[in-house]
Amino acid sequence: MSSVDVTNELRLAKPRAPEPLRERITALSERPVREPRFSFSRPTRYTVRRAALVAVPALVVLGVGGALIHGIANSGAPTARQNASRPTTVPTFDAAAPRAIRESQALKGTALPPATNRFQHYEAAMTVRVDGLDRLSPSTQKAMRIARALGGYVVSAEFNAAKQGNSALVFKIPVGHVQQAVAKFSRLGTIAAQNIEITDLQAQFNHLVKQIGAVRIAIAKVDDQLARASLSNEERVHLEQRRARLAARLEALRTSRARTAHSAALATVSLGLTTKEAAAAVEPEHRGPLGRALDDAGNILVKEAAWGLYALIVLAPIALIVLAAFLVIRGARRLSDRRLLESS
Amino acid sequence: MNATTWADRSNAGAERVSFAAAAEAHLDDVYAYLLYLTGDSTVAEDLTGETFERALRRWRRYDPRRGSAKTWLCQVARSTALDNLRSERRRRRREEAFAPPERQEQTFVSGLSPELEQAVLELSAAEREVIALRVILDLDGESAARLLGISQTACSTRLSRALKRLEEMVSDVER
Repeated sequence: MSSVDVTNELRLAKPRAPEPLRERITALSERPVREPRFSFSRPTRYTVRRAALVAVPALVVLGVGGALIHGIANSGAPTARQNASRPTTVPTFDAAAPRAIRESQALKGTALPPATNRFQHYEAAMTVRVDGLDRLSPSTQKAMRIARALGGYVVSAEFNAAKQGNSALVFKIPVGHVQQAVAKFSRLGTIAAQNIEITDLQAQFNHLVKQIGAVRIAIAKVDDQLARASLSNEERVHLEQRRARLAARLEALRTSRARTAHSAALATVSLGLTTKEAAAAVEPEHRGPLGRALDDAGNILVKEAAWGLYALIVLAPIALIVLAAFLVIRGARRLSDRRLLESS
Repeated sequence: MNATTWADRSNAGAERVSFAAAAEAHLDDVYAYLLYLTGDSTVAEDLTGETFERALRRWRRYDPRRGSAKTWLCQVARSTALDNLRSERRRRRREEAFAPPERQEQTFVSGLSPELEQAVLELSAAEREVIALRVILDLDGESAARLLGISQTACSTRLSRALKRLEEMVSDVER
């Protein structure tokens, strides 16, 4: 008997279910198929591929849309974006502007004037380019002379006349003369960059004054109590201790007030003198709202990509472990089934 | 809600048959498969009943795009049979500790020659299974391989070895 004969005989003798079994299955199939009230298994129409087909574009649209909305919402004028609680930073000079314009601005003395009726901490930083190494040392000395002539002093000075020379100077200059100082420093060469930062100290000063007044009143009250003759020794000792504490507090507050006043009286001016050519930097503040919106959106997209990558790095090993465990369990199960069937 | 309406509602547009229709169409296939797998008609009857009960409970999971109802029912039958084989093996082990197993006279397929019937019963369950799927139920190689959890090549190899063994055993008896 050949294989063909064997298969033909097997096919011809295909078993049929006995009649009682057929009746039982017919009765069973007439039972209603119950629709589960709650099911944790997904309906067949929601395949993983379909879900991915919807979820991936939706995530991309959400990410890009969110970034664009954030970019548009934050694309207002730069001055509108400044936080009131932060120090006012005034970049008064455009390093990328043409030389003629920069020079004319410098000659006009564009430094923001300090307020005369308020306590303010005034900080100016400027970089001036001088023509050649041989001009660096005389310019540095001249800057020091200017500061002293205006009643200020040199806090620190660093001079480096290597291949491309530069010197870094920090001055304390009376606030009343700071505008003048900035104008004079700007004439030492060509201004490459200038930045002014003003922090209002008035509220801080007023608060200190109020506190000093309150402490003085408290000391006076303690003095009154100490003047009474009816005080017990214990009470007197207690009051004297309290007075000592208040006096120490008053002294600390006075020191703080003096420091605040001193800080407001003297402006810090950092001057950098360099022989380097200014880099032709692109100034972002001069771009239009669309440019800023795109820039912000780009930043958000980069952050989103970074988060996505981070999530991938964190989740990928876990997913791999789960997948490996699944494959091992499935493989073991199949092996066990095969052995079982081969031994039966 | 009866079987037809549930099937229609849950799979609108797909070529999905009702459970009753699938049961009627494939009862003989499932029974034949289980009979070959177990080698015992009584056990096959019980397992067929259990298979259709399971299938009724799981009918909503059946997706016609992933395979025919016959293949799906055979998968349910296989899972039921394997569970039964495992529990039977445990039971036999327990019983063998106290008494040796009695050799039971098995009834198999009527219509087969005694030589072929004996040869089929000599095969392992794995060999009878592949014969049932590929020869008796006429499943294609891909569906049979997927059902068995092996590659198509392995499925073909297993089938050809099983048929060769059958041929050899029948020839030996005839001689």
